[in-house]
Amino acid sequence: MTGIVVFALFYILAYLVGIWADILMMKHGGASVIFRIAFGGCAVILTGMTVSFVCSLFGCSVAACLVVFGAFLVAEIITAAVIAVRKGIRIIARPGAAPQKADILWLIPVATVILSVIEVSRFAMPSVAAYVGIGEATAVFDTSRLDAGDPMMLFIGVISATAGVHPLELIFTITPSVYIVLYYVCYLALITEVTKSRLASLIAFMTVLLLCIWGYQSEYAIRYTLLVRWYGTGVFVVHGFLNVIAVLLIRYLRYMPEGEKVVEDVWDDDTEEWDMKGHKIINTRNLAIAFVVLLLAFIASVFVLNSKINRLYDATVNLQEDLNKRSSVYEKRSDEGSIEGFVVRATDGSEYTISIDEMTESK
Amino acid sequence: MIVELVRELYTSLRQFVGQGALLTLFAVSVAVIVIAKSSKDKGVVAAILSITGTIGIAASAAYERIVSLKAKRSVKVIVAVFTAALMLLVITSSGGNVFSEEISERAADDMHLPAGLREAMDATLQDCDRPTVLTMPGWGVYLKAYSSKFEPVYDESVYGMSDLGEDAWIVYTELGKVHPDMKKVALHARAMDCRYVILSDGIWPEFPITSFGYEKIFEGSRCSVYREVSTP
Repeated sequence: MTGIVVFALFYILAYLVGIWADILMMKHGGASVIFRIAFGGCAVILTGMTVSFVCSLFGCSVAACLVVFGAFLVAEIITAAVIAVRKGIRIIARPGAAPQKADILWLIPVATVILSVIEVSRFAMPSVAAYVGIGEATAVFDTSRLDAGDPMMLFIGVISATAGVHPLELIFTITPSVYIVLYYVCYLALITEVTKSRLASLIAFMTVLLLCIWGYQSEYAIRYTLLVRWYGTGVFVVHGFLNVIAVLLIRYLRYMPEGEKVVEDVWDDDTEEWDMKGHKIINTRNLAIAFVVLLLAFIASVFVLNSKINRLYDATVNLQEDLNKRSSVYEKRSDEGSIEGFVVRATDGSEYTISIDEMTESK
Repeated sequence: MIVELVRELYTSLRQFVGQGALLTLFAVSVAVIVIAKSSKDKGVVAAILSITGTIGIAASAAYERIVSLKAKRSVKVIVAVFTAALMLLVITSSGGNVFSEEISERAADDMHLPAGLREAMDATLQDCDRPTVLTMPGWGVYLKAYSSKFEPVYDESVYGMSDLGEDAWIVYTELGKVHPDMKKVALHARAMDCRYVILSDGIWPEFPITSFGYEKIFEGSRCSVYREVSTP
């Protein structure tokens, strides 16, 4: 329930603060709903981080920080609303184009995003780098006071102290639906700004989604890996803030100050022409290409098999050496199957026999 | 056999490419966008501020190029499928799947703490308000993340642990072994005024730490808590 409330509250605030996006882009083509939410969401988080960090320099309490944060948000929304009304900008954006049949393909990335959000709550990374800094949020939660530290962790500490939810629970159960969705919205805003068609946007967005899923680069890069450390400052900057800045830059670079759009089409240059008329698919050239491809595949498979055999051999040799380094005990049985004694093989290869008569059985 | 070959080829490719190929992919994508962009549209170059976004935009640029080819539909489909397969291979080779077994594991609880550690920490906090704790390597950060009352001997927030003292380094190294010398651990833990020791059941010391001046005060499913025996 807390998660749903936090999610709804955050995106309502993001939408309202996003009026600033319409104001900033008024003379540059206006802001889409997607960019408005992306801009507003990043602005809310940035405001929270800044207020928390400044308050931490003065050792403020959580309550004081919350009051300042709330005041800033209210001021942002009211100021934006007043400016928007004066300039004739709609506060509630007009709905976009009607959905088309092909838009059903967007269910795939939507499902992927939802699954990603669910899975990050279920999977944990056993790496110190994924948890570094959370202690600062916990300190805020425990003491209800802010000390200088990472702005994002301080902000999370303030929210967790306000909501009465432990920072670890807040981070791994509630923030995924807020932060991860926001970052993907930022990517969508950038992609729709650059691509021509909805299908091209879909392909670009799916590529981004897959790159985030296969996003683990190294231990050192965890702080920038979206699906590992979505609650970190590094991820916010790389996956959220920079995307928003990129969209603003693109618009400013494209549009003249008077509002006249310079560019009509994104891809305007001549494309290559490949005239297949009169050419058959099965011809000498294509057969030669196919032969070369098969040859390369064969060489590669030989290489792969060879390396696999070598690895198995090395493992077997090491296994034998390992066995030879240990002492071993073997049973010595008669033909009838009864135990006559034990043979102990020492590490130097010598063997010793212990007769069963010399031993006492214990049960 | 073929499946095995393909799997082995893919593994070898992953090992050859290595993780961390994202930046290489980004550089190639920048080149694609710069070459393919309209000479009038300088604004799109700003998109390279986003590393992952740039690669996605380059993928859509490849699609738009294929669509604009003046060729038979079947040829376009073949080229598109081949390009998509290549992109998929490149993406899955550029990094590790964050949900795979080699990179992550199922979270034991909502807080993503190691199994059994939470109850061990609760037991410790019940016994002492501000416990000085020696724990397994890598667990100091969990202690600090769970409660600011803990004072772990080593806190892995300093990556590389270069600030560790001699005693802390010795116990850190010892507890990283499967068969740690608990006499050494107990000796250096007392030198650091560690009243509490939280240990995992994943180690098998020859002699338990209870033989060296510590008593067990809590035994959980995967962790145990030991407290220094105070002499009256």
